[in-house]
Amino acid sequence: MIEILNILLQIFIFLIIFSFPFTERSLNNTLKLKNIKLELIDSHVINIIIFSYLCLIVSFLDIDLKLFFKIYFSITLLFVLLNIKFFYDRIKKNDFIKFVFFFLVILSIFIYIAQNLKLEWDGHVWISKAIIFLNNEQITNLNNTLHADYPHLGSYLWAFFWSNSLLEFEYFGRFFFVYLYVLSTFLIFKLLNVNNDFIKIFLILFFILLTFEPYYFGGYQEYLIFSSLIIASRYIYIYNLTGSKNIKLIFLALIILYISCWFKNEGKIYFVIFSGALIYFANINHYKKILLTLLIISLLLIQYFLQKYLINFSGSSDVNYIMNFLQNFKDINLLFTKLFKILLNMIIVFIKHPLWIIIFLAILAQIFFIKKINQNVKYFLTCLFLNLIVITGIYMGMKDIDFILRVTLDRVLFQTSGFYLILILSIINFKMINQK
Amino acid sequence: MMKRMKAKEIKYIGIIVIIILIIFKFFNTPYNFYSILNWNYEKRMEQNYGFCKNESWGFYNHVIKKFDLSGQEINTINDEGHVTLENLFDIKKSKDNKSNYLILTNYQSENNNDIFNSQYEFLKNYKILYRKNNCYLLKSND
Repeated sequence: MIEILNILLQIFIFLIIFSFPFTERSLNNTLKLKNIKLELIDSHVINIIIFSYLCLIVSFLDIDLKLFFKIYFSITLLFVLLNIKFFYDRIKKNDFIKFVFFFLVILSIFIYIAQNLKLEWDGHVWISKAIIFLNNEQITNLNNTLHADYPHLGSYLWAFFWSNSLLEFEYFGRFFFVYLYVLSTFLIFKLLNVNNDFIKIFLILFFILLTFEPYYFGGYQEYLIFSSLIIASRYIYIYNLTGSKNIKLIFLALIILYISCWFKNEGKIYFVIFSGALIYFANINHYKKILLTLLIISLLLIQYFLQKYLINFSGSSDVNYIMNFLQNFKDINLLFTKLFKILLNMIIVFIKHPLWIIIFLAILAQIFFIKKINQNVKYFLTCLFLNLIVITGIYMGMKDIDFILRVTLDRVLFQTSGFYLILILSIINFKMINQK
Repeated sequence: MMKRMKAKEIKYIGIIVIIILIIFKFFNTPYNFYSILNWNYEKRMEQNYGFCKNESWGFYNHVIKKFDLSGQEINTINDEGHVTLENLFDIKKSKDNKSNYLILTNYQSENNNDIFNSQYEFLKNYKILYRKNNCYLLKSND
């Protein structure tokens, strides 16, 4: 019973800790969007992103996890107590049913993890980084882990909530991954133009049914990227919808996309593709586009220098990778064999993760039935095209791809699948508007 | 009017119950809840990782407690190819085969082969401290 009570307590800790610093009102006042009013769940998600960045900064300062938690939790608790009436009224008035189901889904997955608490293969790599933070060791000790070049933010968050749970069981740290996943799912369905809450909840459950992979909760970082891309897609969609030149929204989307660079190395590729395409499609002048491009390059350089000089990470074998990639063109047979294998494995993955099948069906419906591709859809289709091309290119540059394809491609493709959920939602929205 | 209100309420409650049942069924919540109430953390870890099978969490836990190995540098081998679990315990994985202790789990043998006639030549420098089925805790002869 103590474990169950602690699981419940953990949900309340998440609810409290991520209610600061933005409330719904202060977020709307900050962003000043014309046509759309952001809601409580938006402020909650933005607070998680801010908290993640704060954790990133603190991770370099070697500050004691428990001390950091005590300070942050005290501030957030005070903030929530001062605004308790606002939060209570807001949930009671508009979102009570959705909040209850959000709570139930979170609780059910937490209990699922508590029962199936086994770490899977890569989980043991990521936990070795988490243990360094758990023991309050110096960040340079990350160099002693198996894959020193892997970013550490996911492991830091894992260690943070592990260390600050009352029972200090490892799996409490992984609850953060679940919380972000479920929250991002409820967030993205805010874009759905359906008035009936129950239909929305059924659709959310259907999406969770399609994307819930317990194996990836076994210490993998896939859900962190998956969720952060879903969150980013909401604000990118809102940006295009408003048709305004509100650069704050682009900045917000870039900041959310950038956090994925600190979860996994693939995050850098997604950051470049999705933010590059966003700047290209954005309704802003060339001067601002150049500034934002420079921002992207600077952010990538900041990460490189932080890892090189604060963690003393010595670098990866990029030169070998490029040599391998170029060798493909010397042997045309090898080139086509690799390409065939990659495409075949991609098809297998699309079947394994049925969300991809629905995404492709939505694209076909968009092209053949709706026949009208707006700026939003164009952006997401471009990202999808570039994403698949770059993934193919990356695997082309690897040696002995059979094994690597078998064990990694499903995860690589899964991480980005949530980003294209918008394509499905826009089809449903189109149908709803036409029915009205 | 009252009748219609009641019918609407019943419909709402019906939908809510159906959604709750879907959630509970999909995540196996009632069983997981029961399991957490019935078995403590250590027992569930053993159920998930095995005592002397798969990753053999139970064996690690047992010998680390029994021989007070916390904080020690220990070499770990899982002969069946499963991941080793040094990260889940307060032990340091040895980077060579010269550590004081060795945990060998799921040893794969044929006929009467024992661990000292195995592919691991360096085991000759160790003696068996504790054995349970195919899992061994060995100590260096030095």
